[in-house]
Amino acid sequence: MIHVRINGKLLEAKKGETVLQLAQRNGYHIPNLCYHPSLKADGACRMCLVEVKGANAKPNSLTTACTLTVKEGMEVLLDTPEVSKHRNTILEMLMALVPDSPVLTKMAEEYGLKEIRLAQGDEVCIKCGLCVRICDEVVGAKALAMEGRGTETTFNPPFNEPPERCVACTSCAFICPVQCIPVKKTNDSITIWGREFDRLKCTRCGRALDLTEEHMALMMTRSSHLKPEDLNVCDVCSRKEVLGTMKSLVDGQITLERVGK
Amino acid sequence: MERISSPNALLDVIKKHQDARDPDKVRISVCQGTGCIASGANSVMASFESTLLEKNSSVELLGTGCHGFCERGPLVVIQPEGTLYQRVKPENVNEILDKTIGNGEVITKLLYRDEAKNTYEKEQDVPFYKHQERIVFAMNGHIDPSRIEDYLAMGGYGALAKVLLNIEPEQVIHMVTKSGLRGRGGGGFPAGVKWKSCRDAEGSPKYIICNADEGDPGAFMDRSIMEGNPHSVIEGMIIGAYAIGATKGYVYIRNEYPLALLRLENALEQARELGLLGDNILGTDCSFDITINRGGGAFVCGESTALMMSIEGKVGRPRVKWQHTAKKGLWGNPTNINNVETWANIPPIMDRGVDWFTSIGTGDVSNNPWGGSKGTKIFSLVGKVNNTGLVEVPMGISIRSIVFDMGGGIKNSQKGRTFKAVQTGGPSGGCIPEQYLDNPIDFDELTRLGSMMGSGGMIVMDDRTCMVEVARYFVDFLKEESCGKCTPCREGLRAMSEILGRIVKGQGRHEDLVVLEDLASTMSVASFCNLGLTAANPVLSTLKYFRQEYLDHIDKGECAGRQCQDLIKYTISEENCTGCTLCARKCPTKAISGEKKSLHVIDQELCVRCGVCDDVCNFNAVTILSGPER
Ligand SMILES: Cc1cc2nc3c(=O)[nH]c(=O)nc-3n(C[C@H](O)[C@H](O)[C@H](O)COP(=O)(O)O)c2cc1C
Ligand code: SF4
Ligand code: SF4
Ligand code: SF4
Ligand code: FES
Repeated sequence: MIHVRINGKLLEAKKGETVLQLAQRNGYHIPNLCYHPSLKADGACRMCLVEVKGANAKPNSLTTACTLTVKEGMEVLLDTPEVSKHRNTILEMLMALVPDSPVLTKMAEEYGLKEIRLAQGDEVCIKCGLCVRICDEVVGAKALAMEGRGTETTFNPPFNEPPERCVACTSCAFICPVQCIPVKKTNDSITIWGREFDRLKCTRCGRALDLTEEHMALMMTRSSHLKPEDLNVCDVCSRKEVLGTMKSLVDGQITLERVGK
Repeated sequence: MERISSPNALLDVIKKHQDARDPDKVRISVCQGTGCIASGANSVMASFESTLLEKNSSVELLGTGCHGFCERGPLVVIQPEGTLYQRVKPENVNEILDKTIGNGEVITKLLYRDEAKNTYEKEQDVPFYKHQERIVFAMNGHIDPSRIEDYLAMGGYGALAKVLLNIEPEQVIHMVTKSGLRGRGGGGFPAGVKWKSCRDAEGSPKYIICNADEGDPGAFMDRSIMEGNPHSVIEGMIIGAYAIGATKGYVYIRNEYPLALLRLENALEQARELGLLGDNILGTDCSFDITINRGGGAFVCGESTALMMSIEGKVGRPRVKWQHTAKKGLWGNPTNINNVETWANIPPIMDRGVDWFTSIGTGDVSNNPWGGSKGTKIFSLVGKVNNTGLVEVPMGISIRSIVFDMGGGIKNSQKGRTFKAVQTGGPSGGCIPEQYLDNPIDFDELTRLGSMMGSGGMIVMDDRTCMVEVARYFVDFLKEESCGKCTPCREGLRAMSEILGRIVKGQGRHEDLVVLEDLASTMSVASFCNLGLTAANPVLSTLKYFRQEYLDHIDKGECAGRQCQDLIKYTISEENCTGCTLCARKCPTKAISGEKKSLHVIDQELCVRCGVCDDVCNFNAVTILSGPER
């Protein structure tokens, strides 16, 4: 066990975990915009600044909790004046970039950021990179890309054209911390990043599924155990099936061996 | 040449080439560096070749690497006297051969002439060279970089032989640490310390990298080393590989350096042929080879983790270092990265020893490799000085000596131009004002002054430089070159650029300075990589030393450097104008009118503020007004 202090309180940390994970596990809140537990930390937004002491840290060094691996004897302070000053400047930068985000406005209220002194832009994306990373690391579609450099950096489908490799899983829209990726769903289609996909229908009842042909194909290439019938049945029907099976079991119409099949 | 079978046999080969080189032989060396080639050195070389052939002369002709004084190129040096001819043209070739080679006569019109009209005969007496201490550049100008024989004849690869024969890898690392050699790529990290952690790291194969991305605009020392003496870099890398236990090396070279690439490829081929690279180097059990990687072109690709991503075939952007790259670098394996100039320092250190190296430079590194800065540093001296080019100087030299002794002082001082500041360290360096001209500069002192060593860029600025504009220029450069990944760097630079863009137009506000300082302070602690962490230096240092200039822009619409287009007005003074008509003839927009021998007048509607009139006027009659007087 590794011993780490957060705000003076001694905590037991697991080897290899980050300060952000340790803090979250113990009920501390560290603001963050580019972290998600299912992805490798990237350290892009810089909102999760903390102050570190001990364990070879330079005096008063600030660093990001999401990329900081715990070390024996480390002391972490979450809300020092230095931390909150720089965090607010970063938040101010983001709010100048994306002026109308409720998520950022709420953060500003929470952390006492009163005034945006910088010239305001009219973007909607805070450039955290989560969409590109989830599409790459978790979905495996690699439909999106970080393109350009400097202030021109964008997180979009390549060349900002309807993405060829997208499967309309909508994970990116779900993970986006400022909810800026629009998804349009009708009974027959899902539209995301300017591309319209047909929705598959439940093979039992015909209800529209949150699934596309493309998504199903991708999932099956990524896992050889999956079969179409595992995917193309709606929740209601599969629940019904489970219930039906259980009922037959209780009634003694089938035996456990048959369920296994 | 034949494969060499052992370190001892290598020593014999070196001896043979050394003995064969007659130091008193008449040699004409023509610089074949990129700078001199740009000013026509190829045709000078060709002319020498054909004329010597015609004359059936046995004089040796040598195409060498960069001499550093590119501004005066094409450069020709006649050995053994060391006579330096500058700005040589093909039509001078016959005269040089007849007079200097034939008769021992010096051709005065080809000699270097300083501001005070003194001429200098010998290369080593020219002030630009006289105050230098050339270790890395020692052979540039004396050898043909395409011939390994020349390098061997100067004792090259002797350090490698010595190391393979007598020195254990750990001992090599110990020596590099004791030498106090710090990384020349910008960070100034002690090379020996880095080598040791890579040697001690678990995992194989281990890699070493030579960072030849050289992205700082205006810096070209790494190019000149690779062009002028590629074997010195290769020898340094082989010694490093032996010490660290690496089996594979990469040179990550900037795409814009075709000549350096060519020379390096050629040198690698020669080294392989001799058995200096490849399996079982010189019959020992050390195996190592080097591959060349061509850079992606982005400034940030020079950053070590971005560079490794790029070698791995990914987009070159800095990545999270969960562990130091010495432990987990290229493809997750232990990797040691050093700069070109750092590698080129290794052979002289191993050859001449730690005591010799530590006798040059500042501080005491006997117990602490951070305790000083040892050896030399190559600076790329540019801007408003009379002599521009590459100078290799001992650490601890003063900026005054570089600017005034080697640089020959401020350009156009006869027209009243004076020193204002020097910007060191590349785009994210800082501006150092006059009061620190005599401080001995090294890694730590430059940082203390709010600038940095960086790769050794040094831009001299005169009183006609606006320091707000300087900050704006570098901020805009960095804004384009930031990789865009993290908020403080990307958005901080965007905001700074907007504010500075307003101030230079006279639309600044007092609060802007507070905001600039807040942005700078956050960027300097919260950015992801060193680009962002240092990107505020141009703003911070100019705010610190030249705050009044910012205030004058804001309060009075006055630009002290008379540079900001929106705040200045060109006029011609009645007192000084002789009516020579020169300015009227040169003005590109024909904005100047006036009769011969009478006062000339500038039409403000037509004037585009290009400054040509001021440049050409021989009577100091053009005045640039700014602020209330405008
Ligand atoms: C934005 C950025 C650009 C850099 N560019 C270069 C470069 O062009 N050449 C170089 O040698 N080092 C460059 N560096 C420094 C490298 O990251 C690294 O520290 C260096 O190559 C290590 O070698 P050294 O210890 O021998 O200096 C750069 C660093 C940053 C942050
Ligand atoms: S919806 Fe498309 S772009 Fe978004 S995560 Fe899924 S596959 Fe990637
Ligand atoms: S679209 Fe959303 S998730 Fe993607 S980078 Fe922008 S803010 Fe982050
Ligand atoms: S500091 Fe700048 S260059 Fe470095 S990661 Fe952040 S945005 Fe990219
Ligand atoms: S959550 Fe740590 S940098 Fe974004």
